[in-house]
Amino acid sequence: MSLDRRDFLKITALTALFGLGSASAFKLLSPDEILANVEGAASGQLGMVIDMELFQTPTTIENVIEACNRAHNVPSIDNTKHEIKWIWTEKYENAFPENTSEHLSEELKAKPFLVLCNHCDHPACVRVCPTQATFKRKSDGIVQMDYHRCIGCRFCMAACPYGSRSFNWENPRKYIKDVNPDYPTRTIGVVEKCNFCIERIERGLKPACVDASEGAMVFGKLDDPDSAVRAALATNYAVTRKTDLGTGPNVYYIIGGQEHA
Amino acid sequence: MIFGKKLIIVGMVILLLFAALSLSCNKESALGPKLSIDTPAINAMTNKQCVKPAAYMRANHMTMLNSWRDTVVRGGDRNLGEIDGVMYEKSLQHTCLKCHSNPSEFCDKCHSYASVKVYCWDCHVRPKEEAVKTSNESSDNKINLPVEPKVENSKSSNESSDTKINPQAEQKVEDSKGGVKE
Ligand code: SF4
Ligand code: SF4
Repeated sequence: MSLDRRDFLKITALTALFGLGSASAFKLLSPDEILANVEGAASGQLGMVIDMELFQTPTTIENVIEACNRAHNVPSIDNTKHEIKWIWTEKYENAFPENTSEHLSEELKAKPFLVLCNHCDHPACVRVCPTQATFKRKSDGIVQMDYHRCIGCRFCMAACPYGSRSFNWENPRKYIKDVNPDYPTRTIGVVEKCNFCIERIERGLKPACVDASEGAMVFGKLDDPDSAVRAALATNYAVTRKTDLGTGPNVYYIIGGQEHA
Repeated sequence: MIFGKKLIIVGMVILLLFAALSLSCNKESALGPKLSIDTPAINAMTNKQCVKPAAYMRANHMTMLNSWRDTVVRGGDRNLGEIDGVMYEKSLQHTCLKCHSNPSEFCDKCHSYASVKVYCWDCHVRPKEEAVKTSNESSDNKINLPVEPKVENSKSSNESSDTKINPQAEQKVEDSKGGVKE
């Protein structure tokens, strides 16, 4: 059988039409659907307030980081190119680059700021993930990962403006001294980040970092006016990181010191 | 000619001998794997019942685990419901492995028999097995897969615990709540 040009075009057009009509293509091309995947912040969004003024000693900050690392089997890798970070410290000028200046107070310059994933309202990481391994939960707004699905493309790392994500260049097991049997580890080739202690809050506990912070960190529902986070935000001047990028971060900072407020 | 009739026959006989030898050496795999359910948690149960009937689990545990994964990780729904008065959680680490704390005598047996490699242990922590070394070889704690007729096998193979990933797994088994799994 031979096809002439007209028949060929007819068949091609029909096939394309059929393809477009199929559910998956429809889903792929419908912008509403994609937005719905990305923006689930609506109700029950969880948030955190970190009061840097209340961190009296560096030990407390270390304890906070250690609590998270232990709870989630975060490996400690010395090679900075391979290191894995869920919650860590940055200098003020790196945490808030848009609000820094040459003449910052020495105190502020020296202060270590705790940083972690902001569980953004409009998370760039979710938008770019080709496998939906990273997604935003409708119920509480946590930006969560399904490590089974992650293909290690690292698009999310490029997209996140906060450097909240780390890639496993090596098998992380080698770098975990005591594996916590209550939580899985990750494997080589996947990205990982803070999960707002999803596994603890689903059992009615507070995040591990909040528990270790001696009151310097509070956690709760941002849309509940009676929550601890809202109480802290109602009585203090608090800022979020890189706010003008429009990601809608949900981790707030009370920078501290009346003179800085 | 090099390949005379006699040579071919001798070759075939040798081949057959080898085949017979490998079968007789590998009695266990020829009869289907033997799994051990002799663990402290299972021994403590009055009604030794998995979350689903054994036949269902044998055929469907992989799809069941996948659906657990999706509903827990994506939907946040960890509750499996009540079975025999005990609340269970959808969790490989905190439900399956609390009972089957002997993966080298349970999971691995079939998986190596069927040559199905799993990557669960790349992330999920294997229970430490020294502490749950099987106490005896009583046959009612062994289950044979229904591939072949049941045959007593006197060979004991419960000593191996090749995987020591997790140095401090606790063996508390009173319930399956309070744990964590993703
Ligand atoms: S901080 Fe980064 S990783 Fe976390 S939700 Fe926002 S964009 Fe995603
Ligand atoms: S690295 Fe993983 S989580 Fe990140 S975008 Fe790629 S598949 Fe998604």
